[in-house]
Amino acid sequence: MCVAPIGKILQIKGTQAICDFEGVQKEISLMLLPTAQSGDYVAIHAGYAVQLVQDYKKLLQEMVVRNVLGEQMLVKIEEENKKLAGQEIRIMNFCGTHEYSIVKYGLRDLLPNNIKLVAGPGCPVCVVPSQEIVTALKLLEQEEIILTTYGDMFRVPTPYGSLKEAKAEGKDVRIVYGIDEAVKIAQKTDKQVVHLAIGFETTAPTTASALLQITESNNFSLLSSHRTSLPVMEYVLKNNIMQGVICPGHVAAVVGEQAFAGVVDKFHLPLVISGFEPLDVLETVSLILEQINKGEAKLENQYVRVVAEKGNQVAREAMEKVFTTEDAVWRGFPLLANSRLVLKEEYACFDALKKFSFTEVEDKEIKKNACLCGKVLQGKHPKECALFAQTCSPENPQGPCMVSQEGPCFIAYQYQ
Amino acid sequence: MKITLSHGAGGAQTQKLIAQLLNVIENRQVNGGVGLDHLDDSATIPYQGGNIVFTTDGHTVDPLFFPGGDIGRLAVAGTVNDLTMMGSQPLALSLALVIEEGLDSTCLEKIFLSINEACKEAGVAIIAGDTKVVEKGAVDKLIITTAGIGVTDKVIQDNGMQEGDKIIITGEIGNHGIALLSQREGYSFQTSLQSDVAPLNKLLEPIWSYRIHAAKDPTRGGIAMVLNEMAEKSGFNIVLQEDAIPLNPEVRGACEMLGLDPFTLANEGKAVIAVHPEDAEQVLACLRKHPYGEKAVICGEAREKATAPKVIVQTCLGRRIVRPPLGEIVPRIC
Repeated sequence: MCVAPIGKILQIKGTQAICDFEGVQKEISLMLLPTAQSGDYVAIHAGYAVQLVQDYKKLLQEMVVRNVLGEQMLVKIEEENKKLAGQEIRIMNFCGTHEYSIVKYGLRDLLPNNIKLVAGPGCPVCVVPSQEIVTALKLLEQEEIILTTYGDMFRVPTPYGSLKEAKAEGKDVRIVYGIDEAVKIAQKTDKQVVHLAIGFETTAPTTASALLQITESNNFSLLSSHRTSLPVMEYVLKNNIMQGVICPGHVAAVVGEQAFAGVVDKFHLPLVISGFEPLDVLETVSLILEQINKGEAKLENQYVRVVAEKGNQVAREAMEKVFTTEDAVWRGFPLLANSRLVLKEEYACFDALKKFSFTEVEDKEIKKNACLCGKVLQGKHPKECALFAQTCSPENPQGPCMVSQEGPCFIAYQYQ
Repeated sequence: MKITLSHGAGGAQTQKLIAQLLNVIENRQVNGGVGLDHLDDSATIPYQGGNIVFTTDGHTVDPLFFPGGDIGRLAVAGTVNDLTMMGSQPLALSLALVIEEGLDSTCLEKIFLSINEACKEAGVAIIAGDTKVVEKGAVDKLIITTAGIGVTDKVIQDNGMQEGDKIIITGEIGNHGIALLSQREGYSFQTSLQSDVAPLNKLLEPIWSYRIHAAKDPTRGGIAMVLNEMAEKSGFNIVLQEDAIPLNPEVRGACEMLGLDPFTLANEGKAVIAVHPEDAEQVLACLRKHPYGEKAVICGEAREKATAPKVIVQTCLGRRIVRPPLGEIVPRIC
């Protein structure tokens, strides 16, 4: 669900650290990982360190011999697959970054034909329903604000246009790398800055932490489209037949391994928390096949170098302090209980809707097109959508699955 | 339709927009030379047994001075490179300035010193120009528009790639894109990377005697854009070896950090060349003798004819298709 590149901490300055990415240096926040030390390798999401990375050296060595290990892994998958005798195995991933890795390294091509890797609703951009973007667009129209958001959100189409088009019309829409950059913009201006926050449990703590650090501000507020990942995972597994799940590694890094135990109990499926290197994904697939062959259904953690059993407690506490959950509609999904993170009453001063006495646009006010993105995110083939390759193309996307390079529609479009 | 920044980002949308606009123009070509229909790097006019090569280019960059260069060097290099990619010898440039009221004159002087240096390096002259000053806010600081003229006996076109041709890239990709991005509000970071902005005519001069079938400079839209253009215009699939493509570790680091694809990042001093396979090694050796070509590599080849030609990248494990980028380069979190 979340990109979390690994950087090395070079220097710590209070709650900030200078982090190195192969020679490029960026200042990041340690608020969610206060125990990090200089020299540590950390996974970083939206400008915040979210978890320590163990054995990074070992990972680097593995990458050098990636070809050999990759082949070994494929042999193992092949062996496990023989025992399946051609049975179709559908394995769903719930993280955009897993899908990114699968696409970037062309992993689908490498697997036996009966093993299907299915992209689930793991992209926080794809699952935000139109009305939440339209709310931002209408707010931009009504108020003289600066709207900040993440790059992914910029092109997502709605019946009322996209944020990108709003910018072209002269609205002040700015892309930020993390929420801290948005707060900095607010510190330098008298204008009202509204941050459209999206993301799952990896991103939500960064939002929470930023708000907790603001002591004095009357020009920064939030539209929260944050979501929690378990309700949608349970919904999809209840309504679709899958034989295994690749669990989102960076969400797990925050919520902890155990958060997914309930899913295994409910659905009796192999669930494997996975890293994002292509080898991680291949190993995860082989672990799932192994479980299937043994008739097991358990939670395994392939991503032990980042995911601890209890996750990141500091991050979880920040999130719990600031946010509460409410029932929410997702794009293409019905109302899912407790699936949206909204600000608690104590933090209502940061709620953009309250600040501008603005009501969120409702689902029923949105003109619907025939876009099936919601169904596609549950495993339906994009070709079953009437818009696919007709009015909907990467140049002119009608839904989010055609926007993102890892969107199932975008991928299907290229291979058609 | 409202024009958005994506229409100027050099990707598929830019192409679509200009194709639409150019439809209006009826006189599109002179003496059977390369004209508007080809949308090549430059146009040609067959003349007295040879060819005049002609191009024009508008330059705008924020900030005006960036690590490794400035708008002046960019304007000269960009124009020289467009002429060079046709196989021509660039001769002269014109310069038209649109200056925003309030710009510091020392800033212009610095830019002109840099223009002079770049012209000397490329061996071209500035022989015409124009200056306009507009009200504050009418443009952002400075726009430089150039025209360039060169000559050649043999014209190298984008559509010339043939089956079996080797693909050469003359050095590390994405350095310019990352050097510029590091200066941007909202996601600033520190890097020692410099823009690669440079005129390439001297680098490529020695290779024109070989069987070069196509050459392009991967500016906006990066190698993803130019490889797709070469594939589409020639009708052949291109297969690349990802591991062979030269990538500075800092570009890789920045791309990891921001979730970007180095294939889509801009370059201002690189060429992508399709060459007859028998000449590839010699061309490579020639390129590597020049400082701008030290890291040149053979990284792919033109394969079979296809109705919808694709650029396919062989990764360390599998393969993927590279599409022309869509719109601006923005960092991602998911």
